[in-house]
Amino acid sequence: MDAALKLEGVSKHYGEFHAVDDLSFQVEPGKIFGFLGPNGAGKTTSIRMALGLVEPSLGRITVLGSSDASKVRDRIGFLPEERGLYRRMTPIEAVVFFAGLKGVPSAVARKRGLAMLEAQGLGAAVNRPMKSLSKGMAQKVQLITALAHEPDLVILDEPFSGLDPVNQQSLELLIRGLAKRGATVIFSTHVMAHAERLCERVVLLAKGRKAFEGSVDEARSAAPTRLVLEGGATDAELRALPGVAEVSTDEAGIRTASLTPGAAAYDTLRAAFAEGLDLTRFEMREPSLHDAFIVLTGGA
Amino acid sequence: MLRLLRIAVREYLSYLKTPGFWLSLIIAPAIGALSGYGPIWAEKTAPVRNLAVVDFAKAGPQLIGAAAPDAAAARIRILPPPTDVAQAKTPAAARAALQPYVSGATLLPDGRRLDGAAILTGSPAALSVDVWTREIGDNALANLVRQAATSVMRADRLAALGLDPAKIAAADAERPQVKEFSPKAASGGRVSMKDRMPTFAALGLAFSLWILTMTGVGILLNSVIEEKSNRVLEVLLSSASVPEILGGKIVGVAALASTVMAVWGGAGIFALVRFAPPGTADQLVAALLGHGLFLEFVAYFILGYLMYASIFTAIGAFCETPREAQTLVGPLMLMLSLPMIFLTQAIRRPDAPLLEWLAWFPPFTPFLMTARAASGPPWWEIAGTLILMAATTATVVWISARAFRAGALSTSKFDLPTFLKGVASAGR
Repeated sequence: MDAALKLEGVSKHYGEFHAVDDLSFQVEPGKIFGFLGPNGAGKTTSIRMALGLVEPSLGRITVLGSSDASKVRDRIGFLPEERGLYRRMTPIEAVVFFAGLKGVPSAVARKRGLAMLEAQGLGAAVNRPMKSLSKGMAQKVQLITALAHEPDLVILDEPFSGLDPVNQQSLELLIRGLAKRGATVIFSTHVMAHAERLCERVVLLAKGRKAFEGSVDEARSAAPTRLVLEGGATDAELRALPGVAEVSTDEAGIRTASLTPGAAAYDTLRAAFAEGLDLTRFEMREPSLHDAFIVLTGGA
Repeated sequence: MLRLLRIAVREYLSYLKTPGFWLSLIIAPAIGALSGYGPIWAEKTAPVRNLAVVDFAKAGPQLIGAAAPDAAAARIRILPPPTDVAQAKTPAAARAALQPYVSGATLLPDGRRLDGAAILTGSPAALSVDVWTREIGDNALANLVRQAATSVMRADRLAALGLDPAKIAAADAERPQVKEFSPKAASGGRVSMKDRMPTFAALGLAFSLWILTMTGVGILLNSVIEEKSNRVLEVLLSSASVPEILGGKIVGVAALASTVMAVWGGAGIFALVRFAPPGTADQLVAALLGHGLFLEFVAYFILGYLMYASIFTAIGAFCETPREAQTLVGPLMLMLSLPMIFLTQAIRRPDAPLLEWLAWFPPFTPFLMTARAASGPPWWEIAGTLILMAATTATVVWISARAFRAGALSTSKFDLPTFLKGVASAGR
């Protein structure tokens, strides 16, 4: 089966500035794919290139089997990073208009839009002008306008930004629902927790270049496992243990030992007890995607 | 095409739904009617002005006689001065006695108000007149007295030369019979109102074209700025091509402006049928259709509007506030206003070399050629200007489409270098 999105050696240069440099990855159909990176990493530029809004300086992009995104425009749903809708339009008018641009007949779009708005708790607001809605409500409406034509590929640029925790959770559910229906979902974010919960694969971008591509577990393995240790043992004693790369101490005096890649926490702990170090409590912390993000992006 | 139409319909309906649209639709013809008929109505309903003539020059009766015909038309009544003023021995005393009357502090014995007074001194051959008026801004009394005094002095001089005043008056009343003929008249000779109608129609069409363009580009500019500031443009770009978006917006606003003009035009024709001499409306319609004026108007409107609309839409795509747009919009608006200076000249002297040259300048072509259309410019001039306009408009639309795409995705503030860079790269 063709990839839903495939980038091969894609670069985008603005004069001397390289917004995206030699980026290659592909997204399998029906998967939830995370497009991660710090602010200014080139995520939005890459998304715009994928949508055909901006032409790459170099490389090749294939979207839903087509080298021209405009030809498959009606099969793509897009939520931009900077969001907004016509202020005087009502939510249902917005859904019907944008779905109409994607070729959905008005009656169908209306029926579908009403159901989706109702499902998102916006049933009472369908006929209120957008300008009277809260930011969170407007954001949900915009998401529905991006989805009402039931796209095969959904691209969401920073979809969680500006949402409260409850709405973030409901958006996560929605994204899972899209994937269950068979749609491919690509979303960009710099908040790793969402990607960790949702994505099967991620691409990590730093300063326009790909820093990592793989599964979330693979990404995590790039970050060190940590051992939290309490007691009278000194930094020097802890540093001397096998597998310990670095020791840091927080304000409360609790020490955290970062292990070298591939080191087993069990071996380190066994050595600590064998040495008779003064330890009153220990805890092993598996690295999170956030830790991996910091390591892989070099803190960019 | 379907997307273009959907965008056009949205654009059209979004303005149609605003109270401002309906207000302007109603208010503009009301203002037009008021500005045309209002001053006449105000003059007709204003009270008659009372003017007293105080005569120290023994020219009072002649002056009153000379002023009488015009006084009636100007709604001025000439009265004898109040007794205390009439009894004044000197002009200074008369002036002092007049003060309370002219200021309105004292009314005339019959209860009327005195609006002005003329104190005549000197002699009928060399009159000197002091005109006192209650309202400084009202010069009708002074004008009436000035004309009458001139007439009195002229008659006195001519009488001194031995001419009979009655014969002089008769000679002054003589008017030559001047008839206007033109080979272009429908009758082949005598010029009638019907023959002049195409000229009026052309002027009206040129003015309408200008209004349509100004209104249309203003709406478009604000619409795109709103979409840019509301972050709608990027979503639109992901849903439709630049020509579809640009075309949809331009068509939608053109439909809106045409609706306004149709309503105003309908109101104008109704006013002609209702208030103008019988047959005027028919003559106007015949002039519009019979001389190809309307066809030329449509052709120049499409090309001119498309050209200006594309430019303003592209500028709007770079701006998030109207203030940002001012840098370029200001000079463009000034340029758009320039043809209006030459519009009446284009009607009176359509063959003036300056106008002929300016008509070939594409930004002015639609307005000046429409205005000159009634004079029947040579076919090659019409064809040539249309071809040049079409080529210019196509180029402008192409450049604007590139600029629009670049502007829609740009986040930097608008300035000329950014705009030109955007045109060059088309956002790619």
